[in-house]
Amino acid sequence: MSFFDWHYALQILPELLRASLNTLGITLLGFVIAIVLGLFLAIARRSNRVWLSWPIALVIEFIRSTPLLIQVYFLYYVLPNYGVSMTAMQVGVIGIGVHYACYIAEVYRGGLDAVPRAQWEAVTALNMGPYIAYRNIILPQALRPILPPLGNYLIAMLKDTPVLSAITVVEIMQQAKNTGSETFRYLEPITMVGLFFLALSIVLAYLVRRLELRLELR
Amino acid sequence: MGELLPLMLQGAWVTLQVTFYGSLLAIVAAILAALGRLSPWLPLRWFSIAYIELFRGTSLLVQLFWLFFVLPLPPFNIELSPFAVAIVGLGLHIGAYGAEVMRGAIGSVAKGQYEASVALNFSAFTRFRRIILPQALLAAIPPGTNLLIELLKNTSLVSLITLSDLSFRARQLDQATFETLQIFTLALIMYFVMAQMINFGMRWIERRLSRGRMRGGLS
Amino acid sequence: MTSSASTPPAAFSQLSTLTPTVAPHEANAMPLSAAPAPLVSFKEVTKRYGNFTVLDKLDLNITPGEKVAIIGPSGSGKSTLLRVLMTLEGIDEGLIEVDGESLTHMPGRGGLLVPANDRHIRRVRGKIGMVFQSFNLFPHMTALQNVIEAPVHVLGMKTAEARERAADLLELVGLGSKFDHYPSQLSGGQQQRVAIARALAMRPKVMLFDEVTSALDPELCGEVLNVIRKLGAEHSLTMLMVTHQMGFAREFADRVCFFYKGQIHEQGTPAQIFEHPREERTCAFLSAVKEAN
Repeated sequence: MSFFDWHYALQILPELLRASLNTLGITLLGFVIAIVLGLFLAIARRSNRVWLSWPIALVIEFIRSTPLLIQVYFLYYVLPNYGVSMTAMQVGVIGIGVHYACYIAEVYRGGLDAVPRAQWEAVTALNMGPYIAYRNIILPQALRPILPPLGNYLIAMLKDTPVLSAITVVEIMQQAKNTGSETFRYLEPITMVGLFFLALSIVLAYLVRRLELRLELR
Repeated sequence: MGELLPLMLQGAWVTLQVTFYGSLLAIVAAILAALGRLSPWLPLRWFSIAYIELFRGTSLLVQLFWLFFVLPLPPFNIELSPFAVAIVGLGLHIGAYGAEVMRGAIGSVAKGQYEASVALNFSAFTRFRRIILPQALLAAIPPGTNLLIELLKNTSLVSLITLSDLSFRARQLDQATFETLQIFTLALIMYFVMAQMINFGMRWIERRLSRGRMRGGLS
Repeated sequence: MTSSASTPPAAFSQLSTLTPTVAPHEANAMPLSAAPAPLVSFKEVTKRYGNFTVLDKLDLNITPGEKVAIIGPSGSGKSTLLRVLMTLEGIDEGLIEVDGESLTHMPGRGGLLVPANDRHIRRVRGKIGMVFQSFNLFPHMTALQNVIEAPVHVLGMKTAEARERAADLLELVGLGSKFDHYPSQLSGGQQQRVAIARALAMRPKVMLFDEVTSALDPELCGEVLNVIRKLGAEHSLTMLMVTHQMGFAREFADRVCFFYKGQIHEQGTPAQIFEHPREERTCAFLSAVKEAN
């Protein structure tokens, strides 16, 4: 490829890699938020108390049906008006975390629904409190089959982090744009970012498949 | 609120157009890539797999930026309007996911349908067009609906390549009027409504296509 | 998704000189009358699935207008016989001929037979029609649409003409009032009769029936068998049917072939086979069937 300036590409590699750390950090933190919050949302959604389950269902549906971009705009531009000031990075992590928490809540819901009714009844019969019940009995059974979908959402989150560049979070895509605009050479930075995501998602997808095999789900 | 609405609706109209044309491209790409993926001819199969993995494995925004910033430069020298970039980028991106959906849908058509078609001496092309594809499309509607809603949400990213869609207008208005809460709430509601429209639309299509068919009946 | 016949070994490339052989165990029960050229002939047809031989050097000749019933235990290869004739599966060795032309091979350079290409196969295949155990009607089309689909899109018939013909055929099978019904709105017996009409619409010379009543509730078998009887009486259609309906085979067929382990173990007129079977296995099978009834 004579049009791809390898020298230039090597030159900009360090700053892209530095920004990639941001990308990875946001993804991991956001994922932690998503899997924890998602679990609570799922449990609330399945609750028998209608005053809890219906509003939660509406919120989940609303967040799942609307773009991440607008949601982070909302957090970044609306919250300061109410005295909450956060850095772009913090808003980004929370925004992406909450967004994916709603997808993951549906995954949890499927997993929890798949736990046989008899288990829930046994837990009641043994007079277990909810915390112990979920922790020791229900969740271990619910989580196994849904680990692969969770893995897929981790990959999806990674690929969604560039959206945060719109609120000035300097992750790898924003860095590439900045570098490109300085030198007017966009081919190398953007292609490299593309390869970065491609490589990561292939590796992660492979790991998820390995996990599926290990759990003997395929 | 009165001043906000017209401009937001203009943006929503652009969003709908991008969604519509992007969906058409996505459906075509999905069918072609699924067929290519299933083809016995190896080069075509490799090409389809490459397309699917490339567009699924990289970020949509990266793809849009690539089309917007890189394509006009040498050696490609292809200058696409933001609207074209939006449709091509979104269409190919969602089409790659759609290819897997179509592959599953085609695989779900009962084998007996192939056998009956052979017995009636259909050519492979006519068999696909008249017998297999109609049944596969019906099976593809539930997962396909989710993908179309994804496409709708992803249109928000075209605001970042200067296209005046709903997200762009929302940002624009916010910077002009600072009625941040109303603007972004309204934008979220408008997207939500559009997503539900897609839901209803697809369900209506599904009902019409499965006229006379029992769900999960005999083939 | 294509269904072309597999390529037989090179030794068969000069099969134009091969004359059909008669296996010893067939010699005792051949159809009598001056034999016209067979409409369908199998010559030493062999098919294997891995190590398992499902058709074993099969020889079979069917004269025009003949109605042949094929009976035998499951796994004996009966359905496979029909399926390779319908080109749903390929054969490993041997030759199949339909109406004087080879199904699996075509004339190549220098008069040698070469493996047939798709166009040749389609041309010869057009002479054969098949009705399946699981009907396989097109679920997204009405009964009428099912019957006109192939004539319009394969034969290029005009829609109006195809509709007329389809209407006649559906009347013939007793479904004159069900033109606009979808398969899901029809009973099993009705669906099978639509399937018969659909196959007939292509004007085949040979009709294959692959256990067409096996998936039906007992009370629905009669209507399908009546249609087949009617076809046999009113039209000189050559029919090859794999069936478990012994009573029907006995009354309707010109010839009955007892299939066992990929070969025709014994064949003859219904009287010969059902009343005076010679081979031990034939007797065993027939008495087992009688037990079950």
